[in-house]
Amino acid sequence: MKLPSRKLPIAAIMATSIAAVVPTASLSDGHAPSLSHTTVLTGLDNPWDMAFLSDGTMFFTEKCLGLSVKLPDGDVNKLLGMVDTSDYASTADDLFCEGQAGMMGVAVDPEFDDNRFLYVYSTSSMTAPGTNRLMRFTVNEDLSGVADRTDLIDSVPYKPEASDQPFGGPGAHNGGRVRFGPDGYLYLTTGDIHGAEVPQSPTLLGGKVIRIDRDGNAAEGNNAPDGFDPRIYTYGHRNVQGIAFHPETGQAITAEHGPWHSDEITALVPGGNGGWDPRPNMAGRGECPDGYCGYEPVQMEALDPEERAAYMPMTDFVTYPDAMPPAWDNNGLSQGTSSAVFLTGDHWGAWNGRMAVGLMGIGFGGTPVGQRIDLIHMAEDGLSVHDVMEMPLPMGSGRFRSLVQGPDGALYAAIDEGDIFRIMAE
Amino acid sequence: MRSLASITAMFVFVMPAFATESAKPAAVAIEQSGQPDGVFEAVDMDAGAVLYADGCAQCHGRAGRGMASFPSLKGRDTDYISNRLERYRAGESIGPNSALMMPVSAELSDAEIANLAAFISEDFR
Repeated sequence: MKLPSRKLPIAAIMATSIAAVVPTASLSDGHAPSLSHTTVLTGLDNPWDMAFLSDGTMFFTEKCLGLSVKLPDGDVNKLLGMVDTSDYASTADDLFCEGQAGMMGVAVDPEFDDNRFLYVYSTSSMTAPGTNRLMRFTVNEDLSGVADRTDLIDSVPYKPEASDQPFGGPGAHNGGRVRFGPDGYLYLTTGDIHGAEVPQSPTLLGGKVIRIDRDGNAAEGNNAPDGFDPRIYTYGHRNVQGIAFHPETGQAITAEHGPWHSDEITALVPGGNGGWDPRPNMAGRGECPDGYCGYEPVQMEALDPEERAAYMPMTDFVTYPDAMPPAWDNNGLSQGTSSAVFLTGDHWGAWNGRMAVGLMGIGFGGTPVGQRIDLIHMAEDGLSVHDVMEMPLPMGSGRFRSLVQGPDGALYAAIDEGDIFRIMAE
Repeated sequence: MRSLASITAMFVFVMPAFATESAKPAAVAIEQSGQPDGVFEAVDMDAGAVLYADGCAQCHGRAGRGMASFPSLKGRDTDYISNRLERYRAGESIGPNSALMMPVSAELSDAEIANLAAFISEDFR
């Protein structure tokens, strides 16, 4: 298919901010870097994720608009629009947004130079009542369009109707991050869609981490329990929006948003259970609003997070003694933990090898909003953390939706408000 | 009781003591909820801006255009904002974000609601 070039003048959306250097808090070894930042893009509509080519080309998604790419010369090509968009090279009318759902994660194939494959996760109306789909596209040579859509996964559940929960509108809890691991497999994180049966279901693909090859086949060694969909790598998750890979061990580590308590950082093991099970009439619980206990016992009122965790644990070790233990639970608080990436390179000084975790921020029941980027020093076995500190930001804070390390070694951070920042260390 | 919007429209005036470098009025006269009909107090736009930055912008955005599953406030008039905040303050559930809005609103005074409503309706047209 021949696609027209749709270049936009980058000046319209690119900020020309001057880098401001902010000394960071010193660590004990005295090698913390100094940070500066520039604003790469601004005025976007809920930027959700980014993926880079080695020359700095940056693909990015906007939740309700679609997929675009920023070229090294600064131009932006609008590649794939969602329904009701008009200025993209091509449009997929089944792709739509609702609440938290829409176009989310994007990943570049490690062999992109040869196969031109790009992967995008989005909500689709192709089949009722809607699903979340992982799609593969071929990007054309001049980066002006995508073609050859192949839906690798077409049945990740979507929440079509509102329910009696906080944030209970349609479209809740889709997960959404797409990343290639160092093992060459594609990882997709999903969410529980406020569906009590979903996370522990052996067949429903919500509340899971899925691991497949570039054609959509189950990865070898997923080790899902008997009767499970073989594409499932781990299950029993609530809403995983972050996944990163330990730079030394290669282990996949998720960042997961907790239910009014306990955001979790968890090192995954094949076939592992995250221990999230919000079903009623089990684990000491009775009936729950609209059959979902995820915010109980009092979903609309403040309550000590410890009491919440005792009633509706993020990881239920009583019911599932072999559940994967979180390495970090954000001091028992839920503040919208979203994305994660390991910082690598000598320019990061003492932070080389730390996992950067973006928190969108949410203040409920006395919990501070907490919009920030945390730097987590993971233990090598993934079972605990050595240290957690807040990155002293060189720019204002925001709802940090996506963190990606670019090929230049800088940390790229997208906030829902519409900015993508480049954070440099020296 | 007359509507806040109509009262605002009738009694907008600039208060030099609160003037800032921006062109928008720093204060307007507005009927306060709970006051006897016809009693007006100056609404402090700057105070509304501070309240918004501290307690609203994290979800609704610096420019009030909304993000994620948090709605845009653009084009909302003082009546709409005041009414919603007063109902949330009273513990009424309105939509899927009520769990957040009720506690946020619970501590707001009538004057603070008026200040917020005035700022939002003026700044995010």
